[in-house]
Order: sequence, then structure tokens, then C-alpha cells
Amino acid sequence: MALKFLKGKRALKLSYRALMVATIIIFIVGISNLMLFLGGLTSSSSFAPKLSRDEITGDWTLTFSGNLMNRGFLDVTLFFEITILDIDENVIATNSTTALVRAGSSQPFSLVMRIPADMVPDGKIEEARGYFQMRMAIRELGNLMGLTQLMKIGSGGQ
Amino acid sequence: MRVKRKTVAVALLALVFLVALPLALEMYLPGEFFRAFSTMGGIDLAALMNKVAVIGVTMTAFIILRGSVEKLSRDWLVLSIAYKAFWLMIVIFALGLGSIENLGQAVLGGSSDAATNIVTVDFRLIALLAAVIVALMIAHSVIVYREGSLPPRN
Repeated sequence: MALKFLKGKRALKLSYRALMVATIIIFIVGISNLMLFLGGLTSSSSFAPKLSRDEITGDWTLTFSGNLMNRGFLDVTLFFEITILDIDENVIATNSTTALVRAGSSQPFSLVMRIPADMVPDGKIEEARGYFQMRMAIRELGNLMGLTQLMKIGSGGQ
Repeated sequence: MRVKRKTVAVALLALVFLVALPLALEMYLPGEFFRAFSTMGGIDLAALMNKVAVIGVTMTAFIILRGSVEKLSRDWLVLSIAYKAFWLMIVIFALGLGSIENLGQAVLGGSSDAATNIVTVDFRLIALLAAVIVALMIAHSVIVYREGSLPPRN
């Protein structure tokens, strides 16, 4: 009976100590990888938007394109969603994309969004009132750890 | 109840670093610093310092109580389990940057009339692993206690 207890005690002690070390390693690796990926994301011009207008239909096209760089040592999944809302927060246009960026590699990335001409008063997009919303999710370690950013900015004239 | 010198020393250290220091920082740092942090980072730094001080007081109480009970007694087991559960709470508190209710998710940023910027860092995996570790540690304490209560072998 006492021997059984002793074995169980040792096994438990060993397992929680091993798990402690593993947890610390997972935490450090996860944080470092996230920082490295974010560093690559902010240093490159991946999210530089390009706005153009179709002269025939009058529709506006907002394009986010570039090359996603993963300087980290773990694969990262990036979810990116852009939404344009009117002043009453009704969705005018939305689009999203997901990209898996392998460790140490880069991945081409593109997100195109069409804004109908009738949603832009007098064809002047810079004067249109509304909101620009961006949702970005970075997941790693098989979607078990990550970061989500929600950004919403009001824009436009009076 | 007899408290060991070592226990008193450790309790004093916890009191200084986790209670006196956060409260002193709160008193001596300019209010603008706290306000700027709250607006930009979405963290109420003053409230966070107070929470750390509460944790410090609780930890000091645990240290003194643990140092005063007889090892392998029923009180020791109860305190040991409570102390481990308290450590899990501290881990979740730290991962959530002061918010235990987020269960391992740190939420930064905030909203104003014109803009919203919220960043959520998901550490729930670490919180889950910490919970498993604490469960194993509690099981270990129970085994140590039961082993201690067994009659000695001839």
C-alpha cells in the first residue's frame, strides 16, 4: 500500500514538474513567435491600401496586397477582415481572407473590396461619412494561442 | 501557534514587494501617467496596483498560516490546497493583465467616440495548462498527506 503511494507520488511530482517546464517553454515560444511575426508585418508594407475608381461604373475599389513575412519559427494563420460601414453602422462593403504563413517564409496576400458608387455621395470618397473597421487575427500553435485586433475609425466630412 | 523566523522573513518580503511597493508607486507616480496608461492601453493602472496589493496581503497571510501549521496535519492539507488554488488565480490574473474574469485573455486598448482599437492576446492555453498543473499538485499534496497519516511499517 505504502509502495503504491510512493510510486503515485513520484509519478505525480514528475508529471507536474515536466508540465511546468513545458508550459513555460510554450509561453516563451508562443510570445516570441508572435512578436517576430508582428515585427515582420509592421516592417513590411503588407497592409498599404490602394484606392482606385472605375471610371465607367463609378465604383471604388480598395485593395490591400503585399507579401506576408513570417520571421518566426512556427507557422502562423492570419485572418484579415475589412468592413466599411455607413454612419448608421450598416455594412456597405466587407471582405475577408485567411492566409497560412509557414515559418521563415512569405506568402502573397490580397484583399479586394468594392464600394458601390451609390454609397459614395457626389463620388467623393474622402467626404463620405462612415466607419472603417479592420479585424485581424493571428493564430499559432494549431490555433491554440494568438492575438486579435479590432480597429474601427470614423471618417468623412460633415 | 509558533511562527518560524524564516516564515516571518518571507512574509515580510511579500508584504514589501507586493503591498508596500505597488501602493507607494500609486502614491508617488503622477496622476497623468496613470491616466495616459488608462486611455491608451485600456488598463486601469491604479486599480491594478490595488489588486496586486490585495494579492500581496492574501499571500502574506498564506505564508504565515502555512509556516505555523504542523506538516501533514489536516490544516496543512487544507492550506496547501488553498495556496495552490491561489497560485492558479495569480497566474490567470497575470495572463489577463489584472482581469481574472477573462480567464487568460489579455485585453488592451479601448474605445472613444471616433475610434476603437482593441487588442486581445489569447493565453487560454497557458491558463488551461496551469489549471492542470495545479490539479496535479493538489493530488500530490493529498497523496503526501495520506502517506503521512498511514501507520508506520514494521
